Amino acid sequence: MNRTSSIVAMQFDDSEQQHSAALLGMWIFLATEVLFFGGLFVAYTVYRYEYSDAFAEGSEHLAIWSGAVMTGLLLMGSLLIALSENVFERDHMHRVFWNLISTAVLGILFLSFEFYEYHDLIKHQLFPGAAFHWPEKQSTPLSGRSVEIYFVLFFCMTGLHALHMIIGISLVSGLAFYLRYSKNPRRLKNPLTVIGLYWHFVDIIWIFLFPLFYLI
Amino acid sequence: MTSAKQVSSTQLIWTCVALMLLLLLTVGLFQLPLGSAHLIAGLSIAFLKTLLILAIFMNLKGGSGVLRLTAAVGILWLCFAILGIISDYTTRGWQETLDPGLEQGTHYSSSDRVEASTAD
Repeated sequence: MNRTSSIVAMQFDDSEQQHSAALLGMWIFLATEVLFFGGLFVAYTVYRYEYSDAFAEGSEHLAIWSGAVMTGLLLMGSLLIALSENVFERDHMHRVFWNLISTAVLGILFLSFEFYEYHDLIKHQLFPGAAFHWPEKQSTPLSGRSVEIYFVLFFCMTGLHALHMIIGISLVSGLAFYLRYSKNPRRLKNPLTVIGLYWHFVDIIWIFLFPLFYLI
Repeated sequence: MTSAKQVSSTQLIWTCVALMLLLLLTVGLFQLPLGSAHLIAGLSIAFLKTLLILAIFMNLKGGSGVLRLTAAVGILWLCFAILGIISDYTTRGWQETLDPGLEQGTHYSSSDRVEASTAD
């Protein structure tokens, strides 16, 4: 296969310049994503400072082992997608396909654990809102409300992360099939790099969510 | 701006091993009675993991200066926001007497509890 067969858009001199532009564009997007999540991290900082005891009580309802396994799944996914770029350079498109599919499967497993956790919390009436039930809520109203704030932040932050995961899984699996059936897979170098960066970013967000919610 | 040099597969695998060990360390430290130090330990390890992912998996180590700057700026704004809010909350109640002769100001925080009886 011709290694220089990638299509270069008219505004670029060569494929290397196009690749550099794609990288810079993606990093700028990721910087804005940091700020997108940033508002919630700032809210977490304020409420954790104000209600540290309530946060500790709330976190007792989360399974640490589950959070640890979920982190492990994401890290494995990150490794596979990083390896994909290496094997792509060596034109092993079949391995790139299977690496991407494995990454998507690991992502789906991650979401399964997460949604099971949601199901468990909802079953125990710990979803914020009218149905939220906390035994101490009746005697000391604000104490119960502060635990509810912990769960508001938990569902908002992990929910936003899960939304990013769903987008990531769709992109990774879509790219895998596109690459498999493309007549010229070499031109998918930029999408592979950019989607890889997105996946690693989502991984980093979870790396912070894990200690902030599970290890209090 | 030139493309970054590729990270070797061996390097990627060893980075993943290091990340897994750090994950085990995070969970292991949580079993110890460290109290409020859990937060510091958890976040320190999270920062270490982030640096590894940024440098190796996201290949910032071999990336151009512009890419590093873009990544640093994103993190820097978030740090400004968090440090700003922490400095606000931790310094509330300090030196709140505005004029000589006036009573020391009282700080009411959202953590002040309202007794159930007063709500009646």
